[in-house]
Amino acid sequence: MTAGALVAVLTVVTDAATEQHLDRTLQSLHGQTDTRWQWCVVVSPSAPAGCVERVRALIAGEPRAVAVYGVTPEPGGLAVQAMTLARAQLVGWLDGGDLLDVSTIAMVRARLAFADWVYTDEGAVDDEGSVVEFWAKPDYAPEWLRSQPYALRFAALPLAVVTELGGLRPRFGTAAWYDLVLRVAARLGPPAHLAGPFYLHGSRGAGAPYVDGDPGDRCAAVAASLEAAGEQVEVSPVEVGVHPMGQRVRRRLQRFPKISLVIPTRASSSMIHGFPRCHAVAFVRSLWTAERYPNLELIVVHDTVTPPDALQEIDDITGGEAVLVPFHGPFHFSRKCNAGALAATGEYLCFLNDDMEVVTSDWLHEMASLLADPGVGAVGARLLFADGTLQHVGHEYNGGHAGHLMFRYGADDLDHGGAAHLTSERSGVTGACMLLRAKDFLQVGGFSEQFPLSYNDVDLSLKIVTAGFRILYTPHATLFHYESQTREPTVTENEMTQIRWRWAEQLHHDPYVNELRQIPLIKARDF
Amino acid sequence: MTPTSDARAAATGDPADILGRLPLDAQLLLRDHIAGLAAEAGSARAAAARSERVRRTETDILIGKLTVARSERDDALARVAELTDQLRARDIPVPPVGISLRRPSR
Repeated sequence: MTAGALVAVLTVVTDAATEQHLDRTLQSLHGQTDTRWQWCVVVSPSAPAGCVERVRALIAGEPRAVAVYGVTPEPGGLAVQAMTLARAQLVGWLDGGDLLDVSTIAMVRARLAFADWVYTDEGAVDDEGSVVEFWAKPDYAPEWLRSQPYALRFAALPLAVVTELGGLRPRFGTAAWYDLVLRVAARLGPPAHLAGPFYLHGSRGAGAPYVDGDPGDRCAAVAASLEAAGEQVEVSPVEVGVHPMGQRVRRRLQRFPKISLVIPTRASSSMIHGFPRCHAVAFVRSLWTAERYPNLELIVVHDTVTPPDALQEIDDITGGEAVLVPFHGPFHFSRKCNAGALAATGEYLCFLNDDMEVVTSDWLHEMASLLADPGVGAVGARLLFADGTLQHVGHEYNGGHAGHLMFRYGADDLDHGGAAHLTSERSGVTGACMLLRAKDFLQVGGFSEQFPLSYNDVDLSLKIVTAGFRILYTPHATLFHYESQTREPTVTENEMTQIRWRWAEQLHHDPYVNELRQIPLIKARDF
Repeated sequence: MTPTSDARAAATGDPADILGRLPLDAQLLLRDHIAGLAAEAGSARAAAARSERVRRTETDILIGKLTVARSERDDALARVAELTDQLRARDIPVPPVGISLRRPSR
């Protein structure tokens, strides 16, 4: 009695552990307020003896469930077999013991009015049914999905499209479902995101907070999705300690567009790591190495009070290649950056604060490779304070405020889905290190002079996004940023008013930073 | 004689062309001003849309309450008619209306 089912849920049973908790999964399906589901269970030949009989006994009398013997022990093959049992509008994946909130199927149905496919946030429950972990995911973000399989569980995909795309591909093994989601996303575009713990699984243990399966399978699936789009890439696993976070996609630069580095400065000095440091000089020294990006221009916009010795030193380091642009008037970050941009001749502009230091030598190659995507309008880097904590991993615009995501967190922090460690979309990035095309910068009016000190990067980011581009953050370009060592951080009342006046709507909901991540863990409903 | 691009732009009045002929620093200022105005307009539109959604929701709630009230009124009137008929069928005089159905005056 599966005719008219909305969602077919596929489950593969490979061992005693998954079999043991199957009753929980069935209970959560029985609890659905929308009863139009189907459950397709395939039991691996490698499962313990008598397993399929026990599963059949479990589902006895439930016409919406079907259980069969698997014809192969291979995970990919079993998944394909489960798919052949589906008779529904959508298909989704649950492991044995996984749970759906009672309203999940109903909410999926409601969201089909807005998108062709749907995915949910997820959480982990302990044996007593308490939510012990909650993963508040971003809205759809294609680069993030390539970096991390975040929109997989629970995902409901249209069966007709899945069939048209050739279904699951067993060669991707444990990442066969990931491969399918990537192909469906490429075909159908943005899904609807059900925010909240609509999908719950048992705790995966300390080793795998966000992703599981064979990293080789995941990398192969991502590489295949990009090769299908004509991109040649290298994909490697991203791990933080023992924790798998996702993947890194390396795109080979087909050409080296000229990049103008624009550094506003007055060549101030302060103590860093116990030693005096003239920031601009030290930064240029760390930039101008033999491994630097090959097609580079350096624009130094300096106040008239800048010590001539410092400018001479910069000139010496760069072999006379630095373009020195004098700036008259009181400190005005936007004006200084715009003056530098107007003096620049590069196809790309990279705005940099002067109190920085390069950590990853190929930082600019990495950022430029991401900007090669015509859909990307700006790229930001990972910036660390002198003590190694996070200064910048992208902006967050929620609740009417603009701020730095994970500000002052430890560099190895795994919060927010491990976002600090993954190349991924952001609503904005800091002007302390921002790469963008010169023509786009001009087109949107550069840094707004409405914001002399603060929020100029927020405003520029939102202008870039409004122009139809995505903004990316990459942790694979890392620099130290000794922020506010050179001036006191100041926000004027006028800047605050102006940013909220211009971007009232955008500052209230950040699509890439799920507000639910702030809520305390809640008790799971009684299934 | 072929008109110059400047002359064509001036003739058509295309703002993008006119903007493109200005010095770059002036272009930056104007383009930012335009982008800012567009952003403010977008924010205002979004606020208006949100306000309209709230108004529509409140209207829907009021319409729902009105429908329920009308239904209850019709049920009550039908019950009055039914009881009146029962009294008349037993030749019992129907008492005069003691409660007005009209809204009481304040």
